[in-house]
Amino acid sequence: MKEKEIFRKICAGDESALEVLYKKYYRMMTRLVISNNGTEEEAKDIYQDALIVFWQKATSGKLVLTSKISTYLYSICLNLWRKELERKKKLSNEEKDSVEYIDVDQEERRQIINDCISQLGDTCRRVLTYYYFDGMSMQDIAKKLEFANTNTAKTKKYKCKKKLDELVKSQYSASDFLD
Amino acid sequence: MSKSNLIETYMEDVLTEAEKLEFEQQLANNPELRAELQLQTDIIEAIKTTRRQDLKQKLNRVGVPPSGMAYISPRLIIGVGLALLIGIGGFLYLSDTSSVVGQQFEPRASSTFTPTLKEGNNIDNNKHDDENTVLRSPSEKQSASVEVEERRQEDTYSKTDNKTGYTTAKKVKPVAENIQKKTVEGDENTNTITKEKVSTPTVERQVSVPTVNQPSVTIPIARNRKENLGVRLPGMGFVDQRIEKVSKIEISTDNSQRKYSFHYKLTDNKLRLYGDFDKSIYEILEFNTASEKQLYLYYAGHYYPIEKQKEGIKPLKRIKDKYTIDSLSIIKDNRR
Repeated sequence: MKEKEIFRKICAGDESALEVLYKKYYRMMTRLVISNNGTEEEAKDIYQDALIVFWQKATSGKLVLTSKISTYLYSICLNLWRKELERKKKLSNEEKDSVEYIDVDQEERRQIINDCISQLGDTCRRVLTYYYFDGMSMQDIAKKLEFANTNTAKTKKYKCKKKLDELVKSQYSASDFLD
Repeated sequence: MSKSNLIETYMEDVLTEAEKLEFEQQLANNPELRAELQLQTDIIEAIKTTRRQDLKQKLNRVGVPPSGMAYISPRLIIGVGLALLIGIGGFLYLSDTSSVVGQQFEPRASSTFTPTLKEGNNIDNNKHDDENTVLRSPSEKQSASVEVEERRQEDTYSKTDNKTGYTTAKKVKPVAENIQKKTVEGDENTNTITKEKVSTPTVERQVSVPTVNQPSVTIPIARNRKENLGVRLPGMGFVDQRIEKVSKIEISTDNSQRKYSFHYKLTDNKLRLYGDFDKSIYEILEFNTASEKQLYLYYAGHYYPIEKQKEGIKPLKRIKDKYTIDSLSIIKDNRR
C-alpha cells in the first residue's frame, strides 16, 4: 500500500491501515527510543502513543500532511520520549522527599464509569468513542457504522450518551458520590 | 440551551467569548453545575481512555519483529527437562560424526606434533609419562599408547564409559604441548624438517585412531592430562565436555513472584527460574568434572552462569566475556 493510500484510509478511520503503518515503521521508530536509553517495552509504548496521536489528528480531519508520514511520526516519537524522560527524571527526584498521594475517590469514580461504558452495547460504544476520541464527523461515523444517514448517527450519539450519563449517575448515587 | 448542551458546548470550546464568560460566572455560583461539569469531564475522559486502550490492544496484536540490536530467531525448542535429551542426542551425534571431524583436525595435529619427536629424546626426560609416550620413536609408540589407554581406564573421567573420549585426550595434548615447546625452541626448526618425513608413520597411525571430540578443535593449550578434554570456563578451570547420560537437574519456572523478574535458585540439583521465560527458548548447559558441576543458562541469545546458592534467590547476570560466550556457543551448537 502506498503512503497516500494509507493516509487516505486512516483519515476515513480504517484501522487495518493503521496496523499496516504500525508494522511498516516499527523498527525505525522503536530504535529511536532504544538508542536513547529506552527499553524495548518503552520504545513500543512510545511508538504506539505516537501512532495514536497521528490517528486522532488524521481521523478528526485536523491533519494536513506536508511531509512523509515517517518524518511526522518520528517527530511525535521524539517529543513523547523527551516528555517521558523528563517525567521519569522528575519522578525520581520527587520520590526522595514526597509521599505518594492517591485520590481514592477519583479512582473509584473512574472505575464506575469504565464499568458503565462496558455495559453499553457495541454500537453505542463505537459511536461514542469515534465521536469523542477519534473526533470523527457524524458523516464519517454514519458511513463507518453503515447508518442510513448523518442524522441517524447524531440521534444515536445523543441517545447513547444519555444512556451512559444515566448509568453513571445511578451508580454514583448508589456509591454516595452524588448528594 | 439546555444545561447538558451548554456543558458540552463549553467543553468542546465552541462558545463565544461572551457565552463562555457567562457560563463561568454561573459555575462559580452553582455547585450543582460544577458537579455536572466534573461528571461530564470524567465520562468523556473515560470514553477516550477506553478507545486509546482498544487501539493499543489492537496494535499489540500486530506481529512485529523485536527491535533489539542483536536479534536471534528462536530456532531451538528446548524446554523444561530437555537437558536430558540434549545429553543423549549430543552423545549420539558426537559418536556419529567424530571420525569426520577427526580427519579435519588431524593435519594440524601432525604438523605441530612432528618437530618435537626429534627433540623429545633429548629434552623431556623429566616430563610425565604421557608426554614421553608421545616423544618416543615410532616403533615404541604403539605399545606406549596402549599403556596410556590402559591407565586411563582408571582415570577419574571414566564416569562415562566412552572410549572415544580417551583417544581424544591423547590426541589433543601433543598439539598443545608442542606449541608451547616450539615457542621456546624455535631455532631447532631447520633440523625438524628432515625428521618430519621419518615420523610420518606415527602420524598416519594417529589418523587411523577414529575419534576426536568435536569441540576440542578450539581448546586452548592444555597443561596436564586432566585438562585435556575441556574448555576453560570461569571459576572451573577446564571443563570436561562429555555429557552425563542422565541429567540430574530438575528445572521449574515461577512467574508468580513480582519481586523476582529474572532470577534463579539452585538447590540440590533443583533449578528454579523466576520470571517470564515463555518469551524465548531456554536451554541449560551442564558441565561435570570429577569434583564439580557448573551450569549455564542460555536464554534469548545470552548466557548466564548458574551457581549454587546458599542464601536463596539470585538475579541472573549475563556473561559478557567474549571468550566464555564463544566457548559456550561452540559447545551448545555442537549439541544440536
